[in-house]
Amino acid sequence: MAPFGIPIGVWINAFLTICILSFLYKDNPFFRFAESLFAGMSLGYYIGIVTENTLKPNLFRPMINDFWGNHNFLLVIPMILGVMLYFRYIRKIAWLARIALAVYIGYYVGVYLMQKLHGDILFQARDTIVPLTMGGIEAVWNVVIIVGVFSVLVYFYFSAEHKGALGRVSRVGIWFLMISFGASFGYTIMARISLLMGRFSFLVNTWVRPMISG
Amino acid sequence: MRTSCLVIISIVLVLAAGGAWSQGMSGFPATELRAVDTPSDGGGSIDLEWEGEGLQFVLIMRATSPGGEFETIGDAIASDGSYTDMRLDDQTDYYYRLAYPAGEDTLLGAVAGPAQSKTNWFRSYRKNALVLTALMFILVISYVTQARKGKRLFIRRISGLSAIDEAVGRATEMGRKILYIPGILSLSEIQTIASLSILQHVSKLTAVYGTDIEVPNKDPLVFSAARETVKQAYMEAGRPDQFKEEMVTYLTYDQFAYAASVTAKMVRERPATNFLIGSFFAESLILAETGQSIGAIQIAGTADIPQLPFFVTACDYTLLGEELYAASAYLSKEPVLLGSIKAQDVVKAIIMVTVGAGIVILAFGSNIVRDVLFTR
Amino acid sequence: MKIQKLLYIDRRIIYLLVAIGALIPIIRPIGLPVVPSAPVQGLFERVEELEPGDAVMLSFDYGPSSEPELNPMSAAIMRHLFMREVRVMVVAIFPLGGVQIAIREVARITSEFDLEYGVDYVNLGYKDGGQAPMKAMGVSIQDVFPADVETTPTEGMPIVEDVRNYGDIEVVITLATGIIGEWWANLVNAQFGVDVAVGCTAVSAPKYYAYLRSGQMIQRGLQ
Repeated sequence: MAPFGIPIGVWINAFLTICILSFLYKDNPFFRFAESLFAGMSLGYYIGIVTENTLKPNLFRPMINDFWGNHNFLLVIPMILGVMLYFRYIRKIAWLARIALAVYIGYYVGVYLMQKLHGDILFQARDTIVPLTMGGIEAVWNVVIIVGVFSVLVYFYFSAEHKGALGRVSRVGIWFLMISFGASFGYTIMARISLLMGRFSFLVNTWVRPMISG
Repeated sequence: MRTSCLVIISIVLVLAAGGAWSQGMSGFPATELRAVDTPSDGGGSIDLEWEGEGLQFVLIMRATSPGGEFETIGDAIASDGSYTDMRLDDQTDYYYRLAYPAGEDTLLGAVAGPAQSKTNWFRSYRKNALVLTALMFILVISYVTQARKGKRLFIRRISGLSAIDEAVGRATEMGRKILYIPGILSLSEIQTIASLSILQHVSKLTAVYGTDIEVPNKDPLVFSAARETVKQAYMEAGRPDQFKEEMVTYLTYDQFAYAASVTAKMVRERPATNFLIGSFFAESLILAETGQSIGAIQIAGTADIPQLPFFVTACDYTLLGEELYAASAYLSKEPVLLGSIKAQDVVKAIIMVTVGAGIVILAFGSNIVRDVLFTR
Repeated sequence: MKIQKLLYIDRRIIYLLVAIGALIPIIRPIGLPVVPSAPVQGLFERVEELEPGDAVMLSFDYGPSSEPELNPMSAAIMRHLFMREVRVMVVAIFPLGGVQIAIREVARITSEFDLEYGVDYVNLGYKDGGQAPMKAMGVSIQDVFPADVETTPTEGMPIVEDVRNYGDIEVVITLATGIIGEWWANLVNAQFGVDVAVGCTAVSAPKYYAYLRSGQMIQRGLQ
């Protein structure tokens, strides 16, 4: 099926894009339809992709193909923990779900802790130790970096009231934060326009133009 | 006769080889080869070290027995004095020798080994991370213990906190609902956990005032935890009968599908107050702008730096970065949260002092503090 | 006072103006010059340094909403890598759409070259869990991806047998949305020492400058 020589998939794509864009005018049934379809499909897609790409190759297949070999029997433990998460819906054994949740949170907190400490804090603290003795514009930027890092850290220091000198330094910190937010905002406006252009490019180049040129 | 001839030829050959060997050893650019397991690694590699000088290439040869066939696995410059042989099987004996191509001859060095590669428990060059982690643990545990014993730990009041109470009050006056969006990441994200403790405070207030609250979720685990949180808050407020399961709903896992559903909800149901507290990404501006367009009071909080500008622009009050964690500690008065904030403050002070000292010491030409903080 | 009136313009008028501004260059391109920035140039040079046969991991960590920004980057990087005869392992960590985009884009670009699947490149597909598979690939990529995107076992594929973990990879290039680029830097680069390059959406760009400065990221990617 290809009305006007354009594949049906492109028509569906264009129709749903326009449905979503129609929200800019006001809420309407077309938007509601596209929104509900999007929500439902994305959930189904996620379930499908996790089953196909993670559960099957990393859990089910190794256990079915060679249960005792390659320590595959150990996969029973994460499988049980995964199932335990659903115990929440059975009132009598709901408490067991907390154990699985604790393992999940525990693992990721451990990974995060090292990721932030080792990958962020130490790296960035080291990188803040910059020379001030050289001349030129580089030294000025280094001063900006040091003042910025210290004042923002003071702003996020909660153990003392921000009064007096501490208050003044933390005011400098908030200025640094606001300037960085401004830079971020500018980048985002660019990004949003490019997202919009992506959709318009699809509508114009993939849908309308081939239709006109036949 | 024939046997005697063979014996004589063999003796001559051995003597000739020996002569070449002793002659070769004198010109051999690398000596004293040592093979040891590479320290602080995940196994599968052996470090080779030797004494050598000059820019000649030496060949590195490996075998699994001292008398076995040695194969060339790589080369190195003699004066480098080291080579790491990777991709080995752990718990297997390996023997190494160096070879030096001198003209048409290849001179062979002495055999080193056996050496085995193995997985090491610790990476010794990450001591700095270990010390900082240990320090953090000690500080958290000691502050949490102090808080549990009833010691008052001071945390300054975040100016946005009173806005939370006002926002709930406004929704009550207007008779409209409160929408609480706990971010889009899972429970593995600390911001989500902080958000849930603020949700507990907010739902206690809605329970007391009898205001309607809705918590739409993107993550299934957060969904269950949020339902527990709200239920618990209603019980603690003495209004378990007012809790309804529909207060905490699940929408979808896709970021933008979730954003579309929540914005549609905002436009249709026109909540008086929106809380956007947790971890947000590109959907932050879509949510905050829609909330602003319907005239809702909006309180936001996130530690995702790129999203803060949108919240600062479109919301009435924003908890910036770590203020989110401090707010959850302040509101809940949970010893664990309070202790963590205090410990973090101490670590921040230590980092400031260390970095400050590093800058001063660097000005005097020493890199020592930078070296201490070096990670790999 | 007049400027205050701007605050009360109907937002639909603004939407219309933005739409017109976005549509004009699509209907009639105005031919603005494209100038590579310093980080882009740096990544280009890093790829130029690679030898034929070196291995690079390319991670598709974005969904359909970031396609307009990141698809051109993925195409440019893949073409450059294949021109250098570098072996490419494709993975996806972003759950929604990343793997579909990877399948489509990899098929499109590889068809331009004479490449053998499983030898010169492989598409390992999506793996759930974020940092968990990232960390586990430091030990064994094959354990994390026992099958490729088409569920073909990776055992016996020369590229998977040969490139065992990050130790055998020269550069990880991630085309990332949200937080995933940050994970590659502060987890994979920091803990495994492999070079990381991020092609990011503009919204995430400011935060990556800190990583770029500290050397945790070889380049931020294309702008």
